[in-house]
Amino acid sequence: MMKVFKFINCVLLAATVSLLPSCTEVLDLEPQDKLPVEAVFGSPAGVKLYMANLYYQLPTEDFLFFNSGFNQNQGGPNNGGQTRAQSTDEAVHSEAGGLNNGPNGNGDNMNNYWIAGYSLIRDVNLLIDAIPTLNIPEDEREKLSGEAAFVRAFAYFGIAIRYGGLPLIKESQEYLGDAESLKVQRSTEKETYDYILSELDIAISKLPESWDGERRATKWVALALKSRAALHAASLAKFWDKAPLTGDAVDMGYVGMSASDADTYYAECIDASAEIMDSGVFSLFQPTPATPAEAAENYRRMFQDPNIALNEAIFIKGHTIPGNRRGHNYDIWFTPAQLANGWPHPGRMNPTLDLVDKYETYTNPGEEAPIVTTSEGDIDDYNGYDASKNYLHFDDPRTPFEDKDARLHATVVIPGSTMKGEEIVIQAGFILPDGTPRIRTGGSVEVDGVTYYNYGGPTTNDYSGFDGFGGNNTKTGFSFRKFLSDDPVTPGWNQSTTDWVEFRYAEILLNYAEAVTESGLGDEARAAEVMNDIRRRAGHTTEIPLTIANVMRERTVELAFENKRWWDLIRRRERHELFEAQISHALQPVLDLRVSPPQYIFIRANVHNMNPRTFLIRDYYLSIPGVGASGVIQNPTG
Amino acid sequence: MKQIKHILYFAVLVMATSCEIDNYDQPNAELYGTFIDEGTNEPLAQDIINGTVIELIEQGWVEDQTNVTQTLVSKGDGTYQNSQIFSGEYLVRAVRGNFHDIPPIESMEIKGRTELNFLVTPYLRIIDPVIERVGSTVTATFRIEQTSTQEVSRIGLYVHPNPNVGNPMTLTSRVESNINRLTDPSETFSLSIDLDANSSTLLQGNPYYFRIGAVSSAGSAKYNYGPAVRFTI
Repeated sequence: MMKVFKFINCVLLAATVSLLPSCTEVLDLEPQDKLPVEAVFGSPAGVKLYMANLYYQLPTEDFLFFNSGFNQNQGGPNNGGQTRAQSTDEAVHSEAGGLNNGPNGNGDNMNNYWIAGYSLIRDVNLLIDAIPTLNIPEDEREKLSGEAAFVRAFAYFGIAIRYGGLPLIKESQEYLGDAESLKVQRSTEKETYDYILSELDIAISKLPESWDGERRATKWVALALKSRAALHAASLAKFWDKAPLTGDAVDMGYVGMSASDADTYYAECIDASAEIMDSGVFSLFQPTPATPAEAAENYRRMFQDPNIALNEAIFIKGHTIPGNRRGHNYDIWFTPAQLANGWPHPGRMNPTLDLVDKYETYTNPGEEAPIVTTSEGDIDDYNGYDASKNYLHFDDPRTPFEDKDARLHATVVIPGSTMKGEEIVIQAGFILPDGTPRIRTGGSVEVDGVTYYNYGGPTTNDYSGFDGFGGNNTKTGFSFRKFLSDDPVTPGWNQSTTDWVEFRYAEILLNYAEAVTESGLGDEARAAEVMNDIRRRAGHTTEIPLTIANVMRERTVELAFENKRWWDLIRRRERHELFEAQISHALQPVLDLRVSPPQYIFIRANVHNMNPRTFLIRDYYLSIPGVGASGVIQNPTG
Repeated sequence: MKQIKHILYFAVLVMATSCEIDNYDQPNAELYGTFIDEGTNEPLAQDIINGTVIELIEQGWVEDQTNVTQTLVSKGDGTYQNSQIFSGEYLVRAVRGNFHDIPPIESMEIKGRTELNFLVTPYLRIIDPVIERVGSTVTATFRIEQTSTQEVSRIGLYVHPNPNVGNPMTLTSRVESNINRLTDPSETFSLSIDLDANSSTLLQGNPYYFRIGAVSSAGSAKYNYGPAVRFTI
């Protein structure tokens, strides 16, 4: 008995000891990893700092957007230089056998914007809570509310285009020990887009027309996002039935749009675009070039430094200082190998022949202009060199592209063209005097005392194409020019400071033209006019009629590599049609040594070592991470 | 001294108890089976990368929990298997297949090795498929049996070194034809692949699988296939 008492005593003692420390307020510390609301929002400088962080988190698919996700400029962001464009028909990656970034909405990648998006929404909701309490003038409070609404709409748009209908968290949630009360089920896809557009209406009504040079959301930026978001919603509504799905999320309307709603959204896009067009604030940069060469140079300069085109740039994301979390990596990843300046991994962006074919010629306006390489004229044979064909011969490898749209030359490095004063050599091989083809093999041959190199030069510093060395050479026959700086590459991480244009006037005009063409609403004459204005800026002087094919080709070439193509294919439900065991194509410039002096022939071919790419209908919506805990109904991922 | 001993006993007691708490049994049941065409009694083949989905919802696990669906995807030959399932009562439903919708099994016990075959009616059947090579052309002739009044959307002839050849896995540019109409089972269709025109992807002397596919216009229908035929070109 005594033993039991002793034991109980002992237990009590232990319990008391363990409870004692809680009496001394040792746990009542201010957390060291958080700031109280007043400390952040108490001063205008604090609010500004907070806003900068919100802008940083916006889902802008810009120079920092790679396969591994948004804002890839921290440390040495070794993501291989794999971008969205390489998962479309615009380009392939020099190393990867065919990128196809569809299904994965989880993990660290460009498709997963669930967690990051809701983090931004939480951050902006905290700001919205605090705005009424801030000690600032009323007009500033108004502007701040407008900015917050814009940020929130942008965040929801970034999530909605990936996952469909969303849980709409309209005010900040507080955890009071009951996780159940925090759970919010999804709204329908339609309700989600309606909410995004209504938030943008708030932003449009409250935002100023300018911030006196500061890069912050203006009324025009909010209208531009509205133009983009309404067009996205309208396209989903019009084309959703092209790729129907089934499952719980469809039954509840969490994914799925109705064709009967399309015109309402097209009308919203038309109105928002027209308001920008009517404002007189914006215009196309250098709208009437005298020659195609001048047009090409204008277009190239605009992306190299959008600050020379502030009449066209509606919203710029700036990179002021090189370095960690500041600069970006487009120049080191994508510059042609010859201009790498010691950087070991250039040349990753290889524009496809399929894109190059799309650019019009000046002599045959309004049509795609595939590069014809044989006198037979067949353009659908991608089987490589065929001795029985009569290949066209050229002294200068640039000749087949001479008549092409100026924007091709400002976007793509074609074989033999000049960049930063250097001729870019892109050659796939040669045909020996005895007729034997030597393509993609390396080596050299001496003919009549002259040495010819398979890739056009003796060392890897002398050419930019087709050698497998380091993944540094293009395997499509084309290298990349758009956005790249005129200055020599600085061979290190995060050294580029080119600014990114998230919204520009040409996109708004193309949104308008597409919405008018698809819906029949709005002013058709004006839509045709603005589409032709963009072509005029590219040196075209013959107008073409307003058809959906013309609008979409124009959009593809004008906005190439601005990370729009992926979403165009998604929202118009064309990706699964285009990507059915899809293979991209290359153009191989080959030196024909049978003629003297040697001349170039061109071979249309499948991109070497490319895996066919298929996009499944279910991948139009990504699988939502963490549904087990959140209780959110999952997308039809099967 | 004795007290310390007691404290140690106490500690042992606490620790010994804690060993028990989160020790669930590992999954010990298996579900497997085949999708069988009720007309032919043959397994119903389908795309390997886009197979029928079987949804499992364990009954009475969490009350009113809406989202505890586990999924498993069937294989190209129409069979499926998951050997990592907890024993219990489940709702089982096969969805998004290449056959007409079937009602869910509201409740069934999965315990040990449980076999569950689904008798299904494919949207389309490829009848009397013949794939043969004449010279440098591989030609497929076949007829189509519709099992409903929904139109035939597309037919195609596919080729790949892998026996799971099909619409998403093929090495030529599209050898397909958009039908978009009702078809009669007596109507003969023909598709052909020109081997010379694909000489860079279909290498001479290598064996390839050829296969006929057809897809119905029914909402979210997936492809139905004939048997894959292998020969060396």
